[in-house]
Amino acid sequence: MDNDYWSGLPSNDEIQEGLTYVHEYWRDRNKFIAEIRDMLSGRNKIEMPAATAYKPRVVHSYALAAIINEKASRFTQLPTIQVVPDSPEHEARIKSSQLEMAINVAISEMERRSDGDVWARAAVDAIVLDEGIERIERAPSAFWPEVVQINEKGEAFLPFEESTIIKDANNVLKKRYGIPIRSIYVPLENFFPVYEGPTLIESYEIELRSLRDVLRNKLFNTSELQGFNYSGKKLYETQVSIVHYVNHIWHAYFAMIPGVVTDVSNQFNWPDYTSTDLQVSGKPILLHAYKHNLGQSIYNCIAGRFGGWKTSHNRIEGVGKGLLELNQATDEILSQVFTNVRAKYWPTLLQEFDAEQRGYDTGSPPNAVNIQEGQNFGIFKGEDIRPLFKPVDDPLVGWLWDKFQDQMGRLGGSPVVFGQNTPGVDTGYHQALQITQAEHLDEKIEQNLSDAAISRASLILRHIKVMDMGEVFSHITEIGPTGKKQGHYYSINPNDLSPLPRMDAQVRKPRPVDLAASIRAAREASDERQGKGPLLSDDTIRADLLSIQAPDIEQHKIDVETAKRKIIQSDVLTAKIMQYLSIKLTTNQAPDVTGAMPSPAAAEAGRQVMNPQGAGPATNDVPPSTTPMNTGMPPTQSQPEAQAGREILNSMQADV
Amino acid sequence: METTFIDEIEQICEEVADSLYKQVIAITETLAPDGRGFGQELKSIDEQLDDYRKIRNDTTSWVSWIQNKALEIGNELQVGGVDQETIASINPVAIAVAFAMDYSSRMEKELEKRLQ
Repeated sequence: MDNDYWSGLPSNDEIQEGLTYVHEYWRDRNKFIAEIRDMLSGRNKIEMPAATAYKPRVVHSYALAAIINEKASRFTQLPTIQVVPDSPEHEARIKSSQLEMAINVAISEMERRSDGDVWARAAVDAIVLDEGIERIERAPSAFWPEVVQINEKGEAFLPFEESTIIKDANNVLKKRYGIPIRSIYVPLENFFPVYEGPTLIESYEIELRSLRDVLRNKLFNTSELQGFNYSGKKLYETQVSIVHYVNHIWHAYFAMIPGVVTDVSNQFNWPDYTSTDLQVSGKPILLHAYKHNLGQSIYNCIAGRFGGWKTSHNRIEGVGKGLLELNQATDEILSQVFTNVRAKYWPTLLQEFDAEQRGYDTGSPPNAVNIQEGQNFGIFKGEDIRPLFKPVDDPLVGWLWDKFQDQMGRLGGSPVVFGQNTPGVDTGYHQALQITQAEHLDEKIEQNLSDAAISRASLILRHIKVMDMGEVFSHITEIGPTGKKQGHYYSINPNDLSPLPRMDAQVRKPRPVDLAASIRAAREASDERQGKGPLLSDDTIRADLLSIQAPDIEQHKIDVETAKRKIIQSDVLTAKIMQYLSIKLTTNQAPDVTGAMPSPAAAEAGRQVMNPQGAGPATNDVPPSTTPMNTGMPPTQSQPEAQAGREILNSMQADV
Repeated sequence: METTFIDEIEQICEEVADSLYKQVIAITETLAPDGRGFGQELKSIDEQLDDYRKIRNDTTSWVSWIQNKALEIGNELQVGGVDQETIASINPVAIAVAFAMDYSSRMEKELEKRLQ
């Protein structure tokens, strides 16, 4: 490779050197992450005495996990993107609303078809570890396997590179295939970036896959893996470290195979690059590479409150270590108290014997008497049987517990934002301070999550532009104007993406008190001010105060509802109903003359009236019957008299 | 096919009219089961037959009867707010003829009973 490491594909040796360097560089970060993850899953060790007269019990409080859950719950499962219109004109707003809907539907479908819960997991990592990572890639081989082609050499290749099959696919096919972009969650400890200043130049991501998976993949060049003659369970058990190398142009897959072959009972030491303590290193072999051509990394790095990991150290380490220590202390106190409670309420008995009474001069006390429940027993006067550990209240335990909880709340963000009382908060002023502090932490995280959501949407749009396959379709089920569910395809057209639209993102759920406050603010902002008009326009109120996406669509719905209401309340409806009723009463009351036998004069009169042009000689034609006609607006009939006349003829017997 | 607002409104009119029609019929049948209106006297069957014999074999009288009935039906519909075009399409003459045939048929059966 040239020195242009931004855009060239590195050789195997360069990958080996680069991977070794980054693995060592990020070791401290990964150790910190491992400690946090252990604490979150309750795997932190708690020291306890070995030889005791009681059984120590270990309890993990999971206090850190509880804080994380609370914090994560304040943010939405998926971000909502808002496309900012280019100009205040109506057409620009409509266009931005359509693109906004399409992007949000695309994100939702991408999430559904991808790794599962990608954004939420990456957001939690951003909160806990100060950075969450996702890889956004075009994946035709995963979702569109039928479009992967085989060339004359028998090698599979992605159609974006050489084939026109994607470009030639019609809209029906594209709708069937769905959105060809997916998102993969990447644990931060498996991601080894290389930054130059603020720019992510290249990165190495480690992913473990079974050897069976690697050998099966038609896109991979596995010729160098054929020497590993495994079968059966060994194929599943052997985990291969796959390195995803990504720079501004290339996405390459390398497999790290054992560098040292130890052919002892066919045992090879496969390197595990996800471990911080790498026992053996491997040799990279190129499996597959393609040009994504985005001009930037395909990874979306979601920063937390300290801006993410640009170097091997981060201010989150201080906060994290503090939380770890406090959580550890909390676990130990909880374990001690729990052990104490257990020892008190399942008591060990201490028996005091009087040596003189018992006839002992010197030596050890006798063995304690084994007393069964309900059993009578006797002791000498002055002797005693009592529990070894007596129930005694210790206010220090409660005080210590409250302190730890309070401090963890300050470090991690207080639940007081949701109205929960925290220990030691006695006054409203103090609570307001806590709310301010918690909100400040949330705002920083919210801002960074919002930026990352915009980056995510931008990455998706860049992929669509580069793919150059025309419109990309996503499907959503929504409620139609009649209140029933209906499906709708939204599309993103690459022609609308030059330049990329400006976007905002909403990542946080409003608190229940926020919604009431927002509506109150909206109403006050729209109040008439003694002839000066409202303070804010409806569009601004909806977009900014109520965070409604596509406020012009909302206005349209209001206009339609208002018009409907006016029509329904007007006299038009009443008049229509009266007409329909009159018609019903008239037509339904008309008798059915099937089988009627009128007098000949009556029959003749009916014929004359129905056929005023003259009936000629008397025939068996009789006037028409009137089976009650359909209600509502009667359909226009051609020559109803003739038709009705034939019906009467069929139904009457002129036997008079 | 997607229903429009106009379709919805017409549906509402249909349903309300249908419901009101049933209520009117039910009220009428309860309050006047023999069909006698307020201030009217129900004629005996003999009186009815007497009236019928006057027009029974007279085509011209029958034509007048039918035309008067058609006029009455048209007026009822006008009072209900139905426009002329709609009235014409309902064809009150055909309805009047049906009434005539029904009336004559009933009276002929009564006459036949008298003869037996």
